[in-house]
Amino acid sequence: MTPRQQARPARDGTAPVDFTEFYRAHFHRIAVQLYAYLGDHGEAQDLTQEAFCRALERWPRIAAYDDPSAFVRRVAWNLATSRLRRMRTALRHLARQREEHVPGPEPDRVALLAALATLPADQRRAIVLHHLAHLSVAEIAAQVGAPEGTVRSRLSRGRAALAGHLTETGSELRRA
Amino acid sequence: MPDVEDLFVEFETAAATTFRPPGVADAQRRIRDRRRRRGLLAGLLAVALAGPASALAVAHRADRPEPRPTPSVSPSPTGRLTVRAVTLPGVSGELADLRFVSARAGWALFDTCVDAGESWSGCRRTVARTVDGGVTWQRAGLPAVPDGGVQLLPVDTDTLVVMTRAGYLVTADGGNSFTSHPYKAPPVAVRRVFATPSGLYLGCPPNGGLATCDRQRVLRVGSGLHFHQPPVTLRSDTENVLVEGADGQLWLTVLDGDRLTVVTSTDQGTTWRELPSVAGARQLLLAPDGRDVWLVRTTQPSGVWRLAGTRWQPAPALPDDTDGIAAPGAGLLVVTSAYGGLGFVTGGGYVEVPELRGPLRTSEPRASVSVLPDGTVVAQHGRTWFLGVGRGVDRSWLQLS
Repeated sequence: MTPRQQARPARDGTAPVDFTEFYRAHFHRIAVQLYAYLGDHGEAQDLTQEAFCRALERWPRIAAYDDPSAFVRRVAWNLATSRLRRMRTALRHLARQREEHVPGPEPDRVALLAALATLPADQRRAIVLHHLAHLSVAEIAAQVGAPEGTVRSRLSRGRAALAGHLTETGSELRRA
Repeated sequence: MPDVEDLFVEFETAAATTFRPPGVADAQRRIRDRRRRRGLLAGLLAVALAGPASALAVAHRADRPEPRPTPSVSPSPTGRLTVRAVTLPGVSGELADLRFVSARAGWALFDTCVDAGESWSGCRRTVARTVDGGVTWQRAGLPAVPDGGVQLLPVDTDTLVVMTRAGYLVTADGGNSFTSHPYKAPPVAVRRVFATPSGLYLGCPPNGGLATCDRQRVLRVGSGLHFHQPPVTLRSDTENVLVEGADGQLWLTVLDGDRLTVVTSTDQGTTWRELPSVAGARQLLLAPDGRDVWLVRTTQPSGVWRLAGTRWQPAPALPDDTDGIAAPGAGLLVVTSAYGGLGFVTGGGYVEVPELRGPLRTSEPRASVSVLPDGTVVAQHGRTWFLGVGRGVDRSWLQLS
């Protein structure tokens, strides 16, 4: 199968999805989410590409889903979660950011990444899925396999910690 | 303090421009390379096992455009699926949640604001109970529930905790009456939701909260700190799980980074023994009867190890498309496929349940699977639930929605 080939019609009668268009439409958004979660630009790009590879391998089936991007997002996040588990500490996580070979990030981006890096992985995942993937509590719960109450708690605690860290960082910057 | 929402919008706008997608051609190249490697590896393995002729046959399969997601599929010996609609006369709202505690007993939540999250108001919630496997449902006397999220946390046939935005509503008499409790003073039933059958759970002393401390302890419902603590540190940033089989043996796992530590106790935590670690294992699965103990990793490359005496023995790998996994006993694992479908992994093969192939292969992205204490298999796919009642692969299946 070539990626330009059209998948079979979706069950609900909507137009079939072309893989190349699908790739263009969703790559950046998912990569940005993984970047916020992992704090590693290269890793985020690589894992996003890997997730799209897996979708391409099964495209005839996945194209028939109501929302094929949900499949890719889930695969990408599973890959990112597995990858993050290999990172031993938050220090190592921050150190990886300094190894990026991309244009230097803006100060706000650095502040947000640094603040996110201080959160436990579960809270960071919930925060990123909510604020960047724009998922509801129920959707996050379904994706991460946790009860909705747990997700709400992670969001609440994560937001509080994030706000505290950003306020602290802001004060330091102002003092400087 | 800067507005968090604005920061994320700015972050997304700025970060998106820094990515250079490798492109679809690169994705195709990766897939081709991967298939070539798989074919080569399979060919080498076949040479070792059966000679060059079969090696050629196996290696040739690498050129197939669409690899079959699951190996050695054979049909389930008994194909039965009963479809039931969960309805309650006179009650509005959709079926929002369904939680069984055994093949016969379960709790259902009907909600007029399904998918509304916390943003809608005036939602009406109704809870119902079945004790005959979903044939009939009796409405519970749930008081008015405040707007916001609602979650069912069943304990057993008679006891249910309903978590609301304001606190807990608890019934211990099968839904006839409910008592109300604030979050700050959770009743014993809330602890029992997360406890093992003998009443042990991981929590935070001194008040027994579930996850509000840097270091958890093994606690006993109603009596606080369990005297003999296991020889592992239960930090808040590690994944700690305590389970117990019907034989009373406890199993505690701690996943710290990529290292999974397993300790076990045969005397209710008086003494603990650490098992050998297995590189790559991520999760322990325990059959309800306590006889089958597995370590698994479902991400690729997957891995399975079964406990034999005091050692972990490698077992055949899982199907490539494994999504959810659980241990139903009888030496089996039950798995859901990322593309729909459910089946059992046996000693060296995969036995699909053909009657679930259609119902599970819909646009919902995920099907989860679990096993109840009586061995019943439960799969959830969106707002449709499936119960597999029986033993081993020989089960009758019930679809509820």
